[in-house]
Amino acid sequence: MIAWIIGLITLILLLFIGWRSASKSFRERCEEPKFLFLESLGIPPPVDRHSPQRFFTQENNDDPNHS
Amino acid sequence: MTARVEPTPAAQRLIRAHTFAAFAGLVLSAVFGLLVSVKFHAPSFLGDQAWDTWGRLRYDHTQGILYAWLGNAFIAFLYYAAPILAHRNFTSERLGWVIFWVWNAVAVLGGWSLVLAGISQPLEWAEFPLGIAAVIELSLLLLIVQFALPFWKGGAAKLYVAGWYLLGGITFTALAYPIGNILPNVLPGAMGAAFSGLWIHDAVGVFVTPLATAIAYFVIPAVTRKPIYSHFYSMIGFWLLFLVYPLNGLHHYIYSSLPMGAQHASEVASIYQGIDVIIVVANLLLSIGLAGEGNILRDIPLRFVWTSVVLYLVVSIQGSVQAVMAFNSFIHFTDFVIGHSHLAMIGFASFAAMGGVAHVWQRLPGVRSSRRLLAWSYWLLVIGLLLMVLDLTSAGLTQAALWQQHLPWIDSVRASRPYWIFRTADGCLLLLGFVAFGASFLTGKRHEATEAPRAAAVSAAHAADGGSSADRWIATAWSATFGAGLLFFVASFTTLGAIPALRLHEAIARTTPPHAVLQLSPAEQRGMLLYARDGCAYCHTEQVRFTPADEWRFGRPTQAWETQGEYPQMWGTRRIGPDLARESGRRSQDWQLVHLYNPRYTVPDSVMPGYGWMFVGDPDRPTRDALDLVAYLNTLGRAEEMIHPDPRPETVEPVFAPGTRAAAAAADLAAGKAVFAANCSGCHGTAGRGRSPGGRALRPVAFDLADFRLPPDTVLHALANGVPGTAMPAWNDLPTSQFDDVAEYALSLAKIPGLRPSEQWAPMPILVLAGKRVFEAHCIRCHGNDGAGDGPDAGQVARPPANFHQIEVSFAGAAYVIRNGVPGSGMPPWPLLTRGEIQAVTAYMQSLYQGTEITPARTPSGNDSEEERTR
Repeated sequence: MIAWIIGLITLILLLFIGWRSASKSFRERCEEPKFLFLESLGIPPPVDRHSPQRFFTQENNDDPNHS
Repeated sequence: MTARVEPTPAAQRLIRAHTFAAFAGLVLSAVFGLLVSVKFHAPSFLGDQAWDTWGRLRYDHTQGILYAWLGNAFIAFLYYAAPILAHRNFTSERLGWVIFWVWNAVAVLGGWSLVLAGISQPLEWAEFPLGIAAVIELSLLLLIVQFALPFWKGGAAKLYVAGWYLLGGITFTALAYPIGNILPNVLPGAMGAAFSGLWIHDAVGVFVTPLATAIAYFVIPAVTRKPIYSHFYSMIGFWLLFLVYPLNGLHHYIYSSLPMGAQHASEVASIYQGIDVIIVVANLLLSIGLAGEGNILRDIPLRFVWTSVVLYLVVSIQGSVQAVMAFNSFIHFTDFVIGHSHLAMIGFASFAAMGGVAHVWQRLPGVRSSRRLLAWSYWLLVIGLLLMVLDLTSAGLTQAALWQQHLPWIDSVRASRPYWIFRTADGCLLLLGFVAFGASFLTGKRHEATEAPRAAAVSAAHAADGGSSADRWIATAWSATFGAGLLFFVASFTTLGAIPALRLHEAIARTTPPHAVLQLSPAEQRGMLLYARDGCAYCHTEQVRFTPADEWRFGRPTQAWETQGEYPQMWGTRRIGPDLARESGRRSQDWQLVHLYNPRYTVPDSVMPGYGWMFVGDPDRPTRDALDLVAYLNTLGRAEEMIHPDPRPETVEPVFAPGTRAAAAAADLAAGKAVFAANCSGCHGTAGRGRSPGGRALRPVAFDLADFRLPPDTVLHALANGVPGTAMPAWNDLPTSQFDDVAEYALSLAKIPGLRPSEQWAPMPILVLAGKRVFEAHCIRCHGNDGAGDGPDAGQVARPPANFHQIEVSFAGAAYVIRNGVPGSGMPPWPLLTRGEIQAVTAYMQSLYQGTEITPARTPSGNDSEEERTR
């Protein structure tokens, strides 16, 4: 039973990872809270609020294929 | 310039209150811990009062760290962080003060006081009594109302990960707390242990870890002014934590009688948990690294948090490795685990809490803070912690290695002493660091009011949760996962608590022998309560594990059916003293009483506290408490022993032949004296006269080795096999060389000087004749006509009367025994005999002495092969 539970947990998280890979919108929205948090602290967002760049994560910056 | 958001005035008041309560809690809990540490190498430090005994102070140390220090620090941080993360203020200031006073005045101060007064429960991380547990649960529910409700109103899609951790921490703790505190009181023994194990881990896993991680996710971007590396992977880490952590708990009872499937499951989950921590820590360290490492040097609260994150990785990987069964069989119950828990609670949790509280404090207007003292406290704590963990890890490995060898238990206690002394010195360093940390909040420059935005004002900008379909999907997904987390949490208790408990219930019903006597008498039950309240289970386990080392040393492994009368279970998670699960019949009652009164009376190097308050000034005058406690000890393993009595131990015939030229040359008298002092002097006294306080309190009193010469065979036989009916145990686990040395030394103690003619009232032949008449008048009923110990009344006294053909008696020793008797043996005092009569009867007894030859056979030894050993 424990094996099933751990397997199910892994499956759910893999589904999230898959969804994130497949959907740019999901990817951007997933990262949005960290920028909103900075704004809550009175720290201006790193780039223009309305620019798509705003949703780039540090991961994106590390990716040489990112466009 | 780091981000500054000034809390509302109400939040500021509550933050100040909880921060000062946290400081007080931290310092007092550390003082409790320091006293506990001192008592390891100075057991009678501060005297032997009931309130300051080791067990009670230890209860207050761990509960204080959890509730008085970490609880208050986390709540202080919540008052600052929750309004920013939820974009809404907390529910009510009035509720905040209710929580403050209930938490501190009732739960913490009340809990501490009741524990010191002897009202507690022997459950790891749940030592406060049930009434206090109810108050803490009420406080946790009030915390949900205070902080979680604003989060729920704010929506899920844009909730930052620190908010999820805060929300998860207070919600899951409120769920886990009653299960770990109440169920072990209604489910007996092994069944209750299944739930205890879960709470032991959940106290750290769902209370401490989420709130400490929330602080890291909050402080790092606030100081670096950069977003974290990946919010998505921070959420993956969050879900993994709550889904997997509760499955870890049973790894505290590996190799026990709990179902093996559940033990394996906890082992696998523990390894899986390590993977989660790698994700979390990598994300946090990348967040700091990408923003520039210089932040760690400039901002001291961030330095605390960074250290916490690094140590989180170390302690989690260590925990995963400890759960692996092969390693667990080696280090479990040792100080290695204590080093691990200090690394977790100071290195990870406390450093995070300190970073969080200091970060918040620097954003309060009108308060003082000293950067210099804060930096000092950081270095004192880092150095102190690393030394402590190194010390305890080394102590643990030493203990583990000794436990695997066939050596007396007390050897591991002796070997630990230098480590414990070092730990006390190091504890002083840590205490100094804690004091410096608190002082840094009271000294230094006073903050001025800033123009920083107030947390409440932020809410307007984030009133709405976004209306796009993607947002709704994400909100739904996160909320569903949170719901799933709750379900998994329930599943963890079902899988690792309820199902094992049900299986145990069936197994117990199936395997309990029909004639097993498991009921405790009222006195024994009372003794069990006394055992629980004084923390005996924190040094003595009550479970023989299914490992070769345990079975060799303690006997048959503890079966689940044996534990069905234990409410709550007292299996224990650490061994300073030996396991007691097979204690029934192992020691005489008077040995137990003397040992309880002052453990050094019988075991000179013992570090057990004395329980003198259970006696009326003397080990011979036990109160009802002492008698009941010893009665309980004699129930441990009784049922199993009655069903499967141990075969009568094979008699061990020692090969050592003291007195021969070869043996005397091989034996080292100086070494024998040291072995005697370490193991025998408690009862026999350093001179071997048996008149030490412990020896005099035993029944029969300890044998006088100086005034009575026993045949070497008898001494060796007693050393190898013990003496039934007395407190003399077998010493067959001594290494061969020590056995030989102490045997030779014990024999060398006998000094039987003759009388000078001037001391004799008559020539020796006349003395012997006169003595024979005295002997026939007073002694032959027990000692027999010819002094062979076979008189008609010999079978009616507690111990076989002395056989004077085998015991050579000194004049001084005989005079002492005749005047005082031998309490506990059947030999009464003969106060009416004159000095002349005593001298005469002693001369007669001496005339009977013949001595005996020694029969070579073989020597028992801790270093012998298994086949050669006989226990």
